[in-house]
Amino acid sequence: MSTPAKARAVPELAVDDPCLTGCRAGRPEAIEKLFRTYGGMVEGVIGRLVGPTPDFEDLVQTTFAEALGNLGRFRGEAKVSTWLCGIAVNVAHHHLRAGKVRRHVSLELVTDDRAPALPALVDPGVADKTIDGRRLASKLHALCDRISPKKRIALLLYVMEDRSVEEIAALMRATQTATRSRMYFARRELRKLIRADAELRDLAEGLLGATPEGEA
Amino acid sequence: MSSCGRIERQLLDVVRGTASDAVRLEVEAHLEDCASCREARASFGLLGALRGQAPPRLGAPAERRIVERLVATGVPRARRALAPRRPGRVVFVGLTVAALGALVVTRAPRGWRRTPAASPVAEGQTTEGQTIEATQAGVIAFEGAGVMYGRGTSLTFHAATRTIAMAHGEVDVDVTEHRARHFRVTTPKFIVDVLGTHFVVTPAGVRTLRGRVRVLDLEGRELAVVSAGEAWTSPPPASPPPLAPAATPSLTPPTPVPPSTVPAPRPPASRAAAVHSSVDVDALVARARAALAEGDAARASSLIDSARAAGPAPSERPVVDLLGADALLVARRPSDAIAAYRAVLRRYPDAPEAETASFAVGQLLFERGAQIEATAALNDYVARYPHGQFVREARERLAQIRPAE
Repeated sequence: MSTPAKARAVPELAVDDPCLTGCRAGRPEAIEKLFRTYGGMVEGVIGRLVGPTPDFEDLVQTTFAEALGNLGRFRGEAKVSTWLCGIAVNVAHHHLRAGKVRRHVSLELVTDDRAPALPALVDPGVADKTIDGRRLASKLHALCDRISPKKRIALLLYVMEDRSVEEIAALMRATQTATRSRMYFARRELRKLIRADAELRDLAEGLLGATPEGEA
Repeated sequence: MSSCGRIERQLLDVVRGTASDAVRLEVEAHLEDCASCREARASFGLLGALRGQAPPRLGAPAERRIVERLVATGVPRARRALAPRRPGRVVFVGLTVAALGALVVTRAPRGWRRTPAASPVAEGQTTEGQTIEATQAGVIAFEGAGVMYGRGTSLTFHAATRTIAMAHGEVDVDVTEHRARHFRVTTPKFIVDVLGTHFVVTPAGVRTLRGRVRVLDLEGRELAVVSAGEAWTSPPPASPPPLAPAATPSLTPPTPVPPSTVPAPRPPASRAAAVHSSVDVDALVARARAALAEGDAARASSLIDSARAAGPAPSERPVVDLLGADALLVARRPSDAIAAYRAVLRRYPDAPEAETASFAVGQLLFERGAQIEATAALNDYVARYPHGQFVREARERLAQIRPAE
């Protein structure tokens, strides 16, 4: 059930893969291959950090545009996926920072017209879960919007992306102490926010009652 | 207490499923006696539930669009922006430049190509009075500004006045500051005036990505100042009906409707149809929102009516009703809008939309000069949403009212 990043096998290109050389040369088929290989991973990272947003597509595109623009400096000292994840995290961070300013522009529950959830059309249970899940995601991310982007990203990378503190520190260009501190404050603020939200509080209590050990 | 701190930290590992058996047992034992940690466990359990969901994915069409745009763009000049310089130990440099780069790429309207080679006019070739009827998107340098335009855009460049006249289309302008000379983009309805900033202009309005812009009417009177992250939409062309004399609607505190009046969920037999309706409602709401963004209140109202007729799910009703209230506002019917926002507040007191509605009531009353009711409404908002998104604005309005009282 659980689909954290590390549980999913991320396909990996070798650093000397012809695809990367092709991308540097601007060859369309290589660019397409890069996107096909890492698109899912990038979408996952952006989606989990930012939540439902009409800018999702733009953010994913920005990540790849930045990657292509900087591929010349990629020396292959890390996996391509790690390097791309770093770009995605930074793109998400910039977006969240700007989002604080633009918070009044869009308050809606963002519809996901790209995922028509065909099973939901035939299985009412799936439909309910999809809608509830979307609503939960929407509400939780709305709460997270009130936490500073750095703290939020640190917490979500830890919980949702299964990253270690060391990895998060590297991705966010911070010390491990700072990262732990950000996670601590994010945790505290999130608790406080959930406590203040009647619907989420009830949901959390219900969840606890239903599955004492929690997660899938 | 320190034990609680440690347990709380370990709770995240339990949620992640990475806690060892020993840690899990210790946490469980602690939770038996500690209500506070149980509550923390419940809160983090929500993250666990979220974690169990598949992450959002783009559909095939969106992915195809991205690939097409990336291919059309080619490999841009390396920017010291968002990419880590030293892989492994990810190091980001030039955050300011990165923010700029991110905004430029993020905000570029769909279908724009970013390569100068793709533009019909090469950089630096504008002449006084030159007009571009763009058959495809492109980029041009003009008077210290980078100008990206979409397909179908009509622009005329006036270097002497540092002005771009846009007849139609969409243009993204990144202006280098020049203290002595303003930069202007004129449209048939309004003028955007800036020193140095980055903004996107359409015939319907302007969106500022960096700095601030002033929006003027065609006579040069200031209509709005739009800061970074904000958008301004041109009012609809039809002259609005005169506002009704300031009515003084009684501001009753929103009271939750009794459960019996809450619309009942659809019976299971109609679930499949309900999902179809939901999709319709989503689409209608999106179209209504787009119509509102263009200032077309009539079309938005019609779409909202259709959305209501399509039978929105209980979770969608507050969205639809809030949008209906917004449409009334855009149609310059503030009294009706206030009533509609109050209805949202009354019907869905626990929905996220109630917060917006609550603040909107206070704000509209404030704008109409109904100070007593505005004070009550804004105080009510602050009391209900002490950490709400508009708390700062609400407190500012209250502070503005108080001196006058």
